Amino acid sequence: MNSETPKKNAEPDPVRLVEASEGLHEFVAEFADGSPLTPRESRKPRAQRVQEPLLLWSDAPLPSVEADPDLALRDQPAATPDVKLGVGLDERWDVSIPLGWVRLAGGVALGALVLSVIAAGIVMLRRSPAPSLADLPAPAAHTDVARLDTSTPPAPVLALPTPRTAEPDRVATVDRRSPQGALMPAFAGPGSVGPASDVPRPSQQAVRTPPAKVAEKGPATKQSPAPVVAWLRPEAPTRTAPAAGTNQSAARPTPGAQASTTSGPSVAAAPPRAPSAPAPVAPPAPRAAASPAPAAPVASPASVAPVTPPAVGAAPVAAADVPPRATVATAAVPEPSPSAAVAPPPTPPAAPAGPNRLRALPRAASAESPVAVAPAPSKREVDTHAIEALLGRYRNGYNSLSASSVSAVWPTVDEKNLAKAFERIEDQHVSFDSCEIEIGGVAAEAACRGTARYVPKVGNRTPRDEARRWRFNLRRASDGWVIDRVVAQ
Amino acid sequence: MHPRPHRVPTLFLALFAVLGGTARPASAQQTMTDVLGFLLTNRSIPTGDFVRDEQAAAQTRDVFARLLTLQLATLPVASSSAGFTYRLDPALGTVMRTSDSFGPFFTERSITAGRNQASLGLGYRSSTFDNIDGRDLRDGTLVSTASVLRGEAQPFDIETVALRIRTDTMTLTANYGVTDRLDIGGAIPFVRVSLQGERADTYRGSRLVQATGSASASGLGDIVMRAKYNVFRDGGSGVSIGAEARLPTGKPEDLLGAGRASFTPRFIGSYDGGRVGVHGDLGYSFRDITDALGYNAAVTVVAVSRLTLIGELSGLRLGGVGRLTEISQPSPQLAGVDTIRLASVAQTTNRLDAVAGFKWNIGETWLLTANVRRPLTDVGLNADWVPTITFDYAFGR
Repeated sequence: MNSETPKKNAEPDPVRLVEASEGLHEFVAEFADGSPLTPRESRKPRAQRVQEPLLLWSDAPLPSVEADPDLALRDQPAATPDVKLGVGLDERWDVSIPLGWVRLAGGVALGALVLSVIAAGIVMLRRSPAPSLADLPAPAAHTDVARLDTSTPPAPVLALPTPRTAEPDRVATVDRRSPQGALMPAFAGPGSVGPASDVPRPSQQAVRTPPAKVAEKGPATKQSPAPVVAWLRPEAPTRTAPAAGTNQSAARPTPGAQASTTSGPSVAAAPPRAPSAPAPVAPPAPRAAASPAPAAPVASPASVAPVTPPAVGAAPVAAADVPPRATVATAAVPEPSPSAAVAPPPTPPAAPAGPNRLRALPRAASAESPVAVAPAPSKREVDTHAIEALLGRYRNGYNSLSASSVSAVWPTVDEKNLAKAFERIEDQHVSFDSCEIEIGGVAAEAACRGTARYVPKVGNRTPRDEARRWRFNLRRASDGWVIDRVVAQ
Repeated sequence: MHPRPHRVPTLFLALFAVLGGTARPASAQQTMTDVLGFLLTNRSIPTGDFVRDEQAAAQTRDVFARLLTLQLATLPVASSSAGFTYRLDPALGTVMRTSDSFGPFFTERSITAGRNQASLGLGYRSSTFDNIDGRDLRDGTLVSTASVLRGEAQPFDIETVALRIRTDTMTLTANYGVTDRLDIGGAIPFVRVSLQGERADTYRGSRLVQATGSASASGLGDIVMRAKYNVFRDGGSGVSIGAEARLPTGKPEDLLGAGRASFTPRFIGSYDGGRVGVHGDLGYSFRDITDALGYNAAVTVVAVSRLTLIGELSGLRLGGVGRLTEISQPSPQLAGVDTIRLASVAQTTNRLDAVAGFKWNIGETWLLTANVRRPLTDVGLNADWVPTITFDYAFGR
């Protein structure tokens, strides 16, 4: 076997040839016992030897066939090897290891260089501006929001490229630590999570935002991701789009909310708000940034600090971009109750109040005039609104079958009989299609048309719809309008 | 689960036809009056005046027939659908249930069902008569003819009759609100009358059956048409006027009808206090079997919103029906012997019945009505208890 093995290997061992070229004497010791083909340690199969790690740098051109040590060393005298570095390898490789360290070091350096280049490339890519809105695929489920955003100038707070905002906790931490953290709240939390299509077009100001910092702060935020998650879960367990968190942040006009967006733990401690919609609604800050109005008290608690980018104010240009209109609009638009959402979102139909609230702000601030200060309503308008509200309460009292509620707006009603009537109705829904209100001093009349649907408790339970007309006689009381008399037909 | 409205009439008519078709037609037999007259006519006692015997038997038979017809004419035709109607109260601005009560059984109430409110009802009543004018019909003690020695208390020769008279009445009632204040309605009774009788002669303690007879008849009774107009209304209270006409659609020879039409105007008043209501009506019948003044009073108690308990008194003052009585006359052939015959005398009578029961809304607009009627007087043909059960269905909204 021993003598036949080399001959069976018609092709010379390339590894040995490489090593032999640099120190043939090392092979002398190997073959000192007279059996050149039998080393002291059994030679590994050729295939295995080829796979040894030291082959990393042994990819030099194979020498010629004449350099085959099996052939060249047959006539060489036996000699004791000077160096033996038994490392479990074939001894023929032992002598090549010193040279291998050199190459290994070089390889490591080369690898480090390549990695550096890659890292640098990544860094450069991250510095590159985000794709424009035109480059982004249109968001399917939030077209309205996208439309709303396109009508507004680019928002610095939305300038971060989406891929890097894939981790909300990272952004939250950046907010806390970066001097531009105030810019971040709009991105903090889930608002920064999501596809690029949900992100409005970034502005040049946003390009100035050092994305590297975001990336660098990433590990730090990863150390404390739990608060962010805790903030996210109760808010939007089914969230699929990113901007909900942003919306929530923007919808908090209170200082506490502002603090929560600028501090990670504060965000985590913030109480869950109304379920946010998945719509990637842009915060009102973009409109504010688009306005050329002079600097506004963006740090005011009454302002939409979470949504306005006060931190952009760290850069002079960004500070100048913040208009006072956002503040006015925010102050003018009270925080709507869930039932008083400004407009139902087109999709989905059952969108929570969060996005609505957010949409209300840009709409309020979308007036062409820099300052959207509504003119003081006239007394007639005030009365009309008060009577409309009164009729709404009247209607709600009937819909809730609450005689006491009706009595609150209609003190002279026969509450006992009304309660008796309500007891015999399973359900009732009164709706006004139209109302004509005539106000004359301390009295007023309202003529309404509408329908009444009711389900009796006894008898046919099929809802019954009846067209109705109401005529209300109202009078002004000390604390507002009240109903004096109602005739329904 | 709930049958469609258009199927309900079909259901009622099918039941009406099935139950009504179980009786044999009376035309296949002798008439009811024939059989009744045969059983009441003396055949064995030698009275010496057979003409009087027949006259007395005929009078008795006619009294039976009239009283039976009166019983069949008492139909619960009052509508209950007002309990399912809701009306808009303009002053309150919401609908109110017209009445928490479903109303009485036989007594009319003032409120009407409401415009386009229709209802159908199918009722069943069974009566087995036990006595007539205080005389037991079933134990064989009803003396038709007897001979008694003058001065003695007990007759020595006596013919008695035992009768078992039963009526089963299936009545289809309908009511429709033409306007909010005007109701029209009607009742179509289908009647089956069965009669079994035996006449026995007891001579000095020895009893011998002289004749037996049975008959049954079924068919349409006298159809009733009615109308009611609400004159005044205040919630469930109010005043109404009504009228009722009876059409002679039932065969009088089979004791299914009176044989002539009648008309009864009626005055109705109600007080509905919510849970408790008091209702009354007063009517006078012209050209019926006899002129009659009918009066009814009812108290309704709303136990729960779906259950109304009712108690009623139903009175009738009859002017010419007559009353059975024994007429004693000397025998034209036997000295010292008087002949006693059962005959009738013209006498105004008053009868009063009590009715108690409930109306239960078993679901949707289905109403189950059950009541029993019990005579409080012994005038006329009486059954101890007359149960009635009715299912009503109200259409409309």
